Amino acid sequence: MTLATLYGTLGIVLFALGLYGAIVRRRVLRKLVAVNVMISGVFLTFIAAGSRSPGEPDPVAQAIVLTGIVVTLGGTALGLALVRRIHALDLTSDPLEPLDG
Amino acid sequence: MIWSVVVPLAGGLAALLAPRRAARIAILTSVATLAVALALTRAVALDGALEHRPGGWPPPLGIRLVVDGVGVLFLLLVALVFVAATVYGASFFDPVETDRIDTGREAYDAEASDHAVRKGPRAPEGFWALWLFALASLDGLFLTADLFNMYVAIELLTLASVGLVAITNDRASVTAALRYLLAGMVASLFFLLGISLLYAEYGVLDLEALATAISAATDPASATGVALPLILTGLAVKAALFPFHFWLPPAHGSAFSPVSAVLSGLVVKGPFFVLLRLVTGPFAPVVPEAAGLALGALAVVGILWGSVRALQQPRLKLLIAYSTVAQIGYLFLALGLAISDPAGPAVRGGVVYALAHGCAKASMFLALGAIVRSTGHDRIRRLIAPQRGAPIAVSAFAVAGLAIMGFPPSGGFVGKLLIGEAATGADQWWTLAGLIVGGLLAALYLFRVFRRVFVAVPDDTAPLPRAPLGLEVPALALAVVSLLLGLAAALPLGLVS
Amino acid sequence: MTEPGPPTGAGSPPSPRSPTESGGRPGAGPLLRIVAGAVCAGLAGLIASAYWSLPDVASRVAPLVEESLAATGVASRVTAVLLAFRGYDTLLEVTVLLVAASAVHAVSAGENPGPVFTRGPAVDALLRLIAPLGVLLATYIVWRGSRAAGGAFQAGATLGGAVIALALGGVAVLSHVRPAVLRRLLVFGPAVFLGVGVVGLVTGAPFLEVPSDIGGIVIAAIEVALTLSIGLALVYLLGETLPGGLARPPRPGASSDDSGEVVR
Repeated sequence: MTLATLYGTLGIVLFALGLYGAIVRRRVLRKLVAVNVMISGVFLTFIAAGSRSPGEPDPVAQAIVLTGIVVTLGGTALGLALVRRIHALDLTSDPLEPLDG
Repeated sequence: MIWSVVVPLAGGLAALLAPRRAARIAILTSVATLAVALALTRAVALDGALEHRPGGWPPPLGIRLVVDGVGVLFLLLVALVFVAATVYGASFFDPVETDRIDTGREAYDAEASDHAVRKGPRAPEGFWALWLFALASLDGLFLTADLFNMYVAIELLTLASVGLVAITNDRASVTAALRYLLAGMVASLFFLLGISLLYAEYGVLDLEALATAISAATDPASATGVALPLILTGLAVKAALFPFHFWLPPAHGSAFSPVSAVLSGLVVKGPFFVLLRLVTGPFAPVVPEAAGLALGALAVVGILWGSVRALQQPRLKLLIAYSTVAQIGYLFLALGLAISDPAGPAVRGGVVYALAHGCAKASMFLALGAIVRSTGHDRIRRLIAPQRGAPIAVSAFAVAGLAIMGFPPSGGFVGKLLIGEAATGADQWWTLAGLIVGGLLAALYLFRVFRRVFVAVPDDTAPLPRAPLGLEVPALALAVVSLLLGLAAALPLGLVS
Repeated sequence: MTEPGPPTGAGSPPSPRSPTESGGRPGAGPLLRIVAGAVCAGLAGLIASAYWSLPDVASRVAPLVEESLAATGVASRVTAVLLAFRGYDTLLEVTVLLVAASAVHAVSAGENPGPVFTRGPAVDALLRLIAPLGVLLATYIVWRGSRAAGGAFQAGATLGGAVIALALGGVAVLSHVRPAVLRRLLVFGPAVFLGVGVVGLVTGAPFLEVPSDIGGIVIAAIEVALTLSIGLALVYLLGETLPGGLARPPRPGASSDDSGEVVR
């Protein structure tokens, strides 16, 4: 087993763990964190996909992950802003409260 | 063809720079995008598919954009609906600067003001920029022939859509937007993981290079067999196929009417188009027929479920949103049939149905907004003879409703006819049954509304405040297009084949 | 007034239920946990086994990057992919940031809980250091990006991070800048990028094509413009989700005494 395969497998495991969290957790903030675990898993797999042959790691895979990081950062930040907005609109609610499951 | 993306991108930047003139910028931009789409249609009709390489780099290295007959029809649909919805939006939002910070809810509660002239909400800051970026991302999605670029475009589309839902800024819409965002992010990650597996196996992202690699592979089942379901699932969630539709009704039901029109009419068609391009393109040799059957089965259940839920809705807006859940089923029926027979009538049926539904559904949401501007609410039980206040919008709603039900000679009828033909050809009687029962249920839930509108006699004869023409005319225009699509179906069908 | 919706939003099953109904419980029921666990474990096993079965094939694109690197005018492979070969991706990606920033701005306008750090000698010293250090570091990262790892996004993140850190300490740098100027700065990078693309189109070349002899300079210019806009977009994105409301901060240099005061 090469190092790249190990990283790829780790990425897949992270993806599945994050998915489990995103399904099972009821609190929105935890769901967002779980989704970010999935994100890390996918990116790890992508980087590993570009470094499975010996030699320089694939610059395309690196560039794609960089682009992906920025895109997912936008989504996460928007999610946090929405959670905060829900709390601001309804001060009686706990900001960590679950969405309707 | 790149102008289809460049024009709305530039418009979006301009709208960010000049918020006060944003509505005018949006109208100009959408009209310019329509002009580009018309010119492209002419070019594709004369010369066939066109290709563009941003940066000028050859395919496996650079990104390739391709527009073919199907793509250009979707570009045209997007541009047309956007022109109508933008003109509508310019009247929908109150141009007068007021110091009200609400976005419509408080006045809606105040039923005492029933007979006053109703004012629209103020256009929220950044609305038109998000609007034009959504247009740019839709066009980008219909053009791209690169897997990762598809991901970026679809994510741009999702974030813009979520922003447009959340911008209503009340609890229902922000909660709906958050759920939309979470579902959309998980779906994108399925899609992206699938892409990464394909990249690990074939080392390319360009669709044509991928098609060559897949058909040349001796044993294409290894990672492709797993990547394919991941990609299908991800895009099915984004397109709100049953049972992944849960995010759609609250989002479409709580957004501003012009936003709902674009979300329901266009945005869900984006991932559908990508799926169509993938399963009839590079994945055609490896998609198992079972996948087509599975999609078809989910589609039939979705049609029935969406229609039954539509029947139960007390609010007209949610009824229309659930009707979209049902109608997405028809698109996936066509997709499932196209997997087993890519050259058959299923693709043409799906495309025509998507075009008709895009115009008709957008028209219904626009008409609903006009009706609500007059009546102040959308409770079906109390929606008696709204044509007193919004006669043009009510007729638009009726015409668009006929297209949704699939009455001849509407575009919806032609689309269903072709899908039915494909189902008969494939000996899928259950698909045909789903198609027919779905049409009957659509008639049932829409006639429930029509009965209130046309038959019920109002107990008070007081006149309702008149909805502005700027809200009524765009709704009617789109309804008429959905009707004409059936009468002139030969034109789009000629482009598909 | 025009938008329908029951005031409670609880009239129909698909609309969000009231928090009391499902609140309090940190997780789902045991059945869902077991089913979800089994599904996710199965999924991981399936994907991993497919992944292991892959032959060790090199990327087909990587050698092409090597071949065409000289034609881009930049020395760093990753930067060449980001801004030349897949520049169109990057243009859409920057747009994603603008979209997210606009959306965040639209939903959080007017909220401002104030600074979070308690000012003291240590924090003050840090705050004095962080601005020059952030600018210096960002400049270095952009410069380095033409040859090795680095570039507009990393530099923008550094710059934005410095601004956010300052605002957390109550030093609101951006409050001295008029909103119109901030808007121009936000749009500047994407506009330069788009403009470069359109110049190619107008002269008959493909979108975003840059002649290779000036490629290095043009890409450097795009990077610098993007750094500023990305930094600001990140401030909008994270700044307004963090306490401290960076775009419209409470009071420049305010001490922590008036934290908690909401100022629009």
